[in-house]
Amino acid sequence: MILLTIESFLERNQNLKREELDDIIARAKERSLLIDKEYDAFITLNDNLAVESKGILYGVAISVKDNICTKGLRTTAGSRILESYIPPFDATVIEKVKRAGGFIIGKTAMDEFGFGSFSINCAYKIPKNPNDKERVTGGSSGGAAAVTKAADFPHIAIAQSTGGSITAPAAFTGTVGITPTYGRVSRYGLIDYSNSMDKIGTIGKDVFDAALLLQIIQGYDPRDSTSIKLNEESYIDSMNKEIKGFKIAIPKEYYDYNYVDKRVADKIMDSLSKLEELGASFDIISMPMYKYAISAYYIVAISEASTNLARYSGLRYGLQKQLDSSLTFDEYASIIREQGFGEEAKRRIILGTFARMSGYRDAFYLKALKIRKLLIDDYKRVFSRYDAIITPSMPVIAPKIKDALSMEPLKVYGMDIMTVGPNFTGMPTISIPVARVEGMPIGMQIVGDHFNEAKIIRIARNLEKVLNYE
Amino acid sequence: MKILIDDALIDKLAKLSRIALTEDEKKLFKEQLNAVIDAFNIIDELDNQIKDIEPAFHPIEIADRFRDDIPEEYSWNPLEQNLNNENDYIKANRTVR
Amino acid sequence: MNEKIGLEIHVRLNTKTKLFCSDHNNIKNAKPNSNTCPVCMGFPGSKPVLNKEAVRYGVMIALALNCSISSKIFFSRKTYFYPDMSKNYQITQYEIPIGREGYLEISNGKRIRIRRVHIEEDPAKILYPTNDLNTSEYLLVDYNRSGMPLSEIVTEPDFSDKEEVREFMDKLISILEHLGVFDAQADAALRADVNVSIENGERVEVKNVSGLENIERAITYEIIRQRSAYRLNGRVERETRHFSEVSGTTTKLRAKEFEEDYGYIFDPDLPIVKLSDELIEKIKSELPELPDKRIERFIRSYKIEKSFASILVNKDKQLADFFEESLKYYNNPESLAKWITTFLLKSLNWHKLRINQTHVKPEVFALLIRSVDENKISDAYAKDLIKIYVDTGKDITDMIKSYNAINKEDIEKIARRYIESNMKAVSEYKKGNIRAIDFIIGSILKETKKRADPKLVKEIVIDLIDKEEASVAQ
Repeated sequence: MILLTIESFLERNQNLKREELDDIIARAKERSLLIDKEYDAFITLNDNLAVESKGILYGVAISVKDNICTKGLRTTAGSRILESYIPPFDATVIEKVKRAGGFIIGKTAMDEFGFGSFSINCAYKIPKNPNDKERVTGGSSGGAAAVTKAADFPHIAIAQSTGGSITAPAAFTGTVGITPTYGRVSRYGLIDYSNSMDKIGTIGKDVFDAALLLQIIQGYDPRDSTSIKLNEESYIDSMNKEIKGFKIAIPKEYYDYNYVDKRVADKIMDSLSKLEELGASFDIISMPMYKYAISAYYIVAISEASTNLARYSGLRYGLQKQLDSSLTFDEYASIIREQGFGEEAKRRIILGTFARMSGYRDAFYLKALKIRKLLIDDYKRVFSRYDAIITPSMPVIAPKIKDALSMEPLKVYGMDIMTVGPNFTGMPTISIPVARVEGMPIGMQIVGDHFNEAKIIRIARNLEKVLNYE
Repeated sequence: MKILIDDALIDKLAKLSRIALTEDEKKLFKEQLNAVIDAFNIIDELDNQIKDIEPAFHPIEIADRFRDDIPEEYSWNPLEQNLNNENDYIKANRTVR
Repeated sequence: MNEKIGLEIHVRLNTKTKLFCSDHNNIKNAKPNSNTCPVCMGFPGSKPVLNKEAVRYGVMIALALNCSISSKIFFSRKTYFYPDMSKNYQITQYEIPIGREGYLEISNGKRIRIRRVHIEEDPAKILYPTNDLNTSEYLLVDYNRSGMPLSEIVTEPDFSDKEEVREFMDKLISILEHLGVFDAQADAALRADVNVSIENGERVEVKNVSGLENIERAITYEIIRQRSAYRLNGRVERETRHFSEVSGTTTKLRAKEFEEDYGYIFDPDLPIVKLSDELIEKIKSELPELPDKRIERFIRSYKIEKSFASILVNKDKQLADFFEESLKYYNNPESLAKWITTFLLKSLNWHKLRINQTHVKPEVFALLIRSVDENKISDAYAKDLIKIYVDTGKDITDMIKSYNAINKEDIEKIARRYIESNMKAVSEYKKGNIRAIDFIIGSILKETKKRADPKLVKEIVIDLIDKEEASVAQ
């Protein structure tokens, strides 16, 4: 069977015979096993593959980032502390995918609780980049991107981003990642990292795939008080419309060689000419606030994360030990947490506890929330004049795993410079591969105003058609 | 805000976080955290601009999300994954010695 | 004697569901951990959704306590680790509570200032196998209570003594009951942290005292303890203490090796709640009649004394309801109010019962008092019947109806007999020792089994002795 695009697969999937569907499922299972062997992309493979309904995704395999709860299927969030955790319920996005006829192929590798930009902070195996197995996949949705890149069967990934965890792996692996507006997709069933920023999104082989799955999983959910009631748009219907007259902003700071690999910046700049050919125009603008975004983002993220992770204390679920009455509860919890959390998780808990501690919280946590307002205003000013902002997705190409492992935390945090701005302010982004450097893919990040997913998907789709990236 | 994280503060943070850090971890984190917090201090440059700014709790404005006061039965076994049970209770370590 | 007392009161709101999930609130006799779901058990991926009714209740309480209402509120995470905490943070309100700067006036005209009113979730329930925190080898946790809605009401340290505290608490509970937001019989319905300081002493906090009676006991003990500490050491240390219900004493909570820091952050799972002027006005307009207004109405409409009206309403709402219900069967407010606030209340207090916890029915009670007023039944017997009625719950209707008060002639017959056989007492009486005939009166009452009115008996006895003297003198 030759690899079909999902776009063409959908033309026939409604007419699949039972045996054909069984074949597709069997093949997806077999190939996933091989992909896992090759790239360590999964934490758990699903043994009970089942299609529950004949919806639009009939016969499409869906992989799920391992911080999204799947009823009865182990969900670890990439952490030892949840090594044996079996969720008692499905996340809303999982219910939606199942209703649409998709089947859950497995749970994909990630940085523990989403704490990382490379998918190297892993309690389990570190996923490898299918473009070059010595290199990182990007993080934290690394497994999702690796499976998407390697899959030769109809597959789309459910991923998740807090500060750039969809864009980074999409860019590093040469896949398309959509990070929707905060609140567009229900977080019910998502294991929290930073609740005011966490967004479930998608990674696909092309714009169509990622947009299709987003269309299915989005929508208001009464079980998530921060999900938004909106008229749900059909990205598929609007994405092929032309982009003539679109105005694009190019913030010069995001192309500064001091922060961005010159080759990456230049390639993105080069591909902008394609936009002009499509009838869009662009202006170089300045967004000087960008340099505050990383610090403010990390402060909020770790403050929230350190409270979210407090619940893992060796009771009710997750890592536990036989009761030893010589220990106090504090001592027991401290031992469980020392053993159950990896180094980055501990670092972020400690830092986050600091940032919200009395005496410091005004100077860090509260100030960072105020800066978020400044940054939102900054984006709104740009979007009052432009349809989208375009930047590189990542400042570098995927580093080698061994180099990434020895990087100082501060340097790793700096890798998020392109992505934290829109993620911190809840703006939707799409990352599409546009070129290669040293044979490794590089991504372009298109940022839209809140709830303007349709617009950035349309730009990406138009660009994708003329880029001939592969 | 200029702040130096010293051994005492690392100890306190470890205790507040309920993580029994090893001495090596404490040493490593102290160094790294000081570097990170030092970098965080860039936000102090915005002190004048945020004076009259309200904190943004969320990226978008959301308000008034409620649930009606109607009971629903949730059918599950809440103790299924708990290791230490006694009768239908969850057994936990005591809080004082 | 310059004590300052302040209270942080936690009351369970009687909504139907928990604060952030749809499990039952205040479920009785449930199997441990059966009234739970992933939200209140803190399971990964679960999200809280706010109970609208609980917010309305919070606003109602704040309004009833004369607070100014915040136009915008939000919830915060108070992080600390404890086995009863399903998430190891409590969702509560920190910077901006629902209500601020209110007051409640007590009978001496003093306004007890209310610092804040907010709502928050209750932790789980901990059971100690030995019933003692210090000696139990381990704990048992029941999350049925986890997430139930509480309102925290914080006063300024405005109380001077425990009588003021008692009156305030009675009134507060009556207000909550009139609002319909509180059920005094619910499990752990009322708890308080009590702050007590004596003159020149530091503030001492007694944590988590359960129920009204224990609040008073804790205050009494603390004042005595602090005065004695001051006499001995010249100072009272600032500390946090634990109250033992068994001994009625407080003990110093062992100092933690470090101070907990709650690291409050805004709860990012919950959006802000806007309390618009229109909404507040609407809630205000829907407020039921509150105790102060009800007392005024009782005085105005029923022409009863203020002291009776206050007791009826402020003791607890059910007593006032019982009074008004009884009036339907016997329209004599003065008499009913007197009997309810004295002998009925005495019997209730003896058993620490509220009227709705007994089988006492307004129609039966009204019949009893009507019978007394119509002299069909003696006061003394009525008192006995009230006691029996409260004690046993047995229907006393037949006992009221079958009772025949003994007539004057019969009493005289019996009285003559006792006078004749007690001439020594009679002569003592004649010498001026008027108490000498008490024995005769008592004997008569005993023989008539309280069917005779003691006042009448006394009159008859004195009359007979006087008559006898007159006949002898002739």
